[in-house]
Amino acid sequence: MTELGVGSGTFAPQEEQDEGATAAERLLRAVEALDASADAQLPEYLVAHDTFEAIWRDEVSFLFAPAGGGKSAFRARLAQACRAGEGGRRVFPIVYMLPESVVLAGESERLDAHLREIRRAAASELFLHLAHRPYEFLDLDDAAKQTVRRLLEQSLPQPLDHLLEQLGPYGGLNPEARLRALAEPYDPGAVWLNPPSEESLAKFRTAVAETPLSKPAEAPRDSLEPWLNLLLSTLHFEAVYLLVDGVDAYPETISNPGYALALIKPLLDQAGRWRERRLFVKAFLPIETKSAIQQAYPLLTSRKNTVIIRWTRSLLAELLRRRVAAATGTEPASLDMISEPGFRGVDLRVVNAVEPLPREVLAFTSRMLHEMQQRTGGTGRLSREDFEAALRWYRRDRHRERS
Amino acid sequence: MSRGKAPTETKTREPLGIAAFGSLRAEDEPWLAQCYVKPPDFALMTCWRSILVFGDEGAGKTALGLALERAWAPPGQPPKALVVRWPFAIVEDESLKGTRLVVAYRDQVLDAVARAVVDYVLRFPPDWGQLPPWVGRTLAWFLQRFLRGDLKDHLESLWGKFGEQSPGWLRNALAGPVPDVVSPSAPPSEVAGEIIKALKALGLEGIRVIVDNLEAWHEADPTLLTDHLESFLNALTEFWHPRFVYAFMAPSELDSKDWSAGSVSRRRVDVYRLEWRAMDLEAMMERRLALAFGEESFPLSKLGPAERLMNWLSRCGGQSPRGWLRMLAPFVVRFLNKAAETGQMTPLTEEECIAIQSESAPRLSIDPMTDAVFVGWRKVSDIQPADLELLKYLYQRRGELCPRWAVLREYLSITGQLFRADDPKSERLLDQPIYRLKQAIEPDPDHPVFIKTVRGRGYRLDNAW
Repeated sequence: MTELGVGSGTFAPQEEQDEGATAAERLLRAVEALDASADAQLPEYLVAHDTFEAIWRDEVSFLFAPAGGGKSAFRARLAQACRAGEGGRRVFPIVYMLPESVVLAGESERLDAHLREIRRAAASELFLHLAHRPYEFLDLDDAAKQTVRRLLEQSLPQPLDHLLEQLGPYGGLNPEARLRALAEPYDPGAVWLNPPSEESLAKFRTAVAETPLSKPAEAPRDSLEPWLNLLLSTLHFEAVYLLVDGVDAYPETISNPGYALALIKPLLDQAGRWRERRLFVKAFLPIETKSAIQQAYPLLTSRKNTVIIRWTRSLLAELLRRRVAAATGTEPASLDMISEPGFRGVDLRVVNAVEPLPREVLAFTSRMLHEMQQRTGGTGRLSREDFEAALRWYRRDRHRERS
Repeated sequence: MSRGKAPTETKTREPLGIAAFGSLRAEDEPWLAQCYVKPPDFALMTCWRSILVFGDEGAGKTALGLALERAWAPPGQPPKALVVRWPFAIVEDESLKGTRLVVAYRDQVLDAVARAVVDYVLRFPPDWGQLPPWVGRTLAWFLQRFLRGDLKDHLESLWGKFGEQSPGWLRNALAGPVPDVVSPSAPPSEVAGEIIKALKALGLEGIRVIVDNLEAWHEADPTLLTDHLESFLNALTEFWHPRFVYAFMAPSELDSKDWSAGSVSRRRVDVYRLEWRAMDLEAMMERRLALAFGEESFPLSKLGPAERLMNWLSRCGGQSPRGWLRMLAPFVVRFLNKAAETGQMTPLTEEECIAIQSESAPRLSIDPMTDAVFVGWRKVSDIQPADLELLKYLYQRRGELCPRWAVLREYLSITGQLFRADDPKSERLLDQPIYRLKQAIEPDPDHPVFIKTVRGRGYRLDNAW
């Protein structure tokens, strides 16, 4: 990649300016979605490492943040750490977005609804995990293979045969793209390193399809025990993390955060017992629920188990710089590198202009890049004019919300 | 002004005449694509993001919806995405609240998606032999599960439309047994994901749902619509998929709602206001004129004195495309008549334009609740409080001759001044407020169409509702 003159005080000639515009376009595409949890580049730019370290350990964790404050980003980051085996660890993540069926269930049915949906999410994760790591399935003995197949058959949201078919070639998509399409409904940002070859994926398909169904085990269907046995004993994961998110995604919980506690109470009631079985609840919750949860669960929510995300301007500027670096492949990076010579300190200008939340920073940046595209047809550099236009948009946008 | 240039075409078009200014309903204008001017944020609106576009009546919401549809499904080409027109209908079951209400709306959406799938398969029959079997099975399952109404009715309708030519796959999909592709109790995001996977295998990028009939529901029950729309938007996460997005065209009255909670503040949904700059509106008029006269371009100056016309349009049409089109139409009619009489297309003169302005004056109205003053489609915002009171006095007596002394007495009362018979200045106290009012409300203060001075007698407010 061509050096764009960041920090060197020089500015690129025409060819490099073109490359700068390309970097801007790449960045615009990257920040367009505004949804960090669906962003495969997340680990490259999510800062606040102490927050991550606090939840990346075998303990029940509560992470509280305001809307737009990065709850889902940290949830996605944790899931990616598990999938990538960061630190040489082998942790099985279950991405558990509070499902509609739990919201619709009566109080007495809520725990069963949770368990059913957790098994469903676990099955999706396991299917995707094994499809990415076929040898883990192929190396199992017959009894273990049968157990895997039975649990998948019982809990996957789709028929297993249907999913196996989708692993096969279609539409000119390579194995990675087909697996990404399979993962999207479960966890849109999910990334597994080193996707399998066409050949090993085909072997996995055949092996699963040829595995006979075993008789159901004796454990009650409404428990997680068969799953924990499989994951911890048979597949040798050292722990299972249940990543609870999406609690504030319903009309009921948006208007009444207290109701959110009622919905996840059955999970929190089990959290102590599950911890003994190395299943650790990791709850990513709106800040509005914090006091109610701390009051109801004082032991679970001890100081070391609770993280509150607090964004400072300098942290946000760092996040923005890393976002630029991840999108453009340039290190170190800054919005300055795609800005006009007379317009400097853009990262700080952006974070000082908006509410101190990652989503707001990215929304403002996206708008500013769009203004530049409109003004220059996409070949120019960010200018003060683009910043001012984005600022007008932002102020009006915020004003509308609060008026 | 590059956005103002008419689309380049090599051949002269068949002139539409005044029909180009006739219906003013986007859905009735098949030529709209030829003269459409995109709003400034159009490129952003076409991203894979859900959007909520607020616009006044006549601001071009329907035209925008059609333009978005053209961007995603260009006419005559295979679409890039499955474009779904959701005929939104208020769920009137009062027992449904919160998530249950959202589920009811989602059923409407999925029914609309199913209908769009049927339409797509009919228009672009897939080569099923080249596709893996799960694609057809997924689509068939989706139709059987989410197409509302009696499947037999749908089948009969297909037979009625296509007879023996009715595609066999579709007949089988609607009639034959299909296994569940997604468990009935699975989260809705799995449903979205499954149908999108199948659509991707057909070469589509995802699903774009357009909603453009909220105005009628807003007129019927604004509170209910606002509450239900908010619930639906707030629950988008649950039915969220990066390739399943919505474009809501909403009346601007909804913009006054506090959207500080939920999907809007969380930026799950991007909000836009459909507002037009004068240069955009001018470009729209010029493109319409080009269509009307069958020419590649037709600047306003070919119709008449451009400055006068622009002044008239901006002072009577506000920021509304419909307003500008309506206010320009009488000039086009006169221009056509004149061309027919003389056999030449010569621009209208100043005098002719002034005459048209007088004959086709917009209406002045005052909202009794808010005191907002409207001239045609323009909301007048620069009237001083005392002048507004004076205008209201005249408005209450619109069409009547108001004696000068009575108007003066009213104005003195409004401003708390005393009339002094010995002071000749008192006689002239009305001159300034009447002048200011004319400057504020008259399209052309030198040729007033609202405040008429009847020499030696008083004032009359004309063309007011």
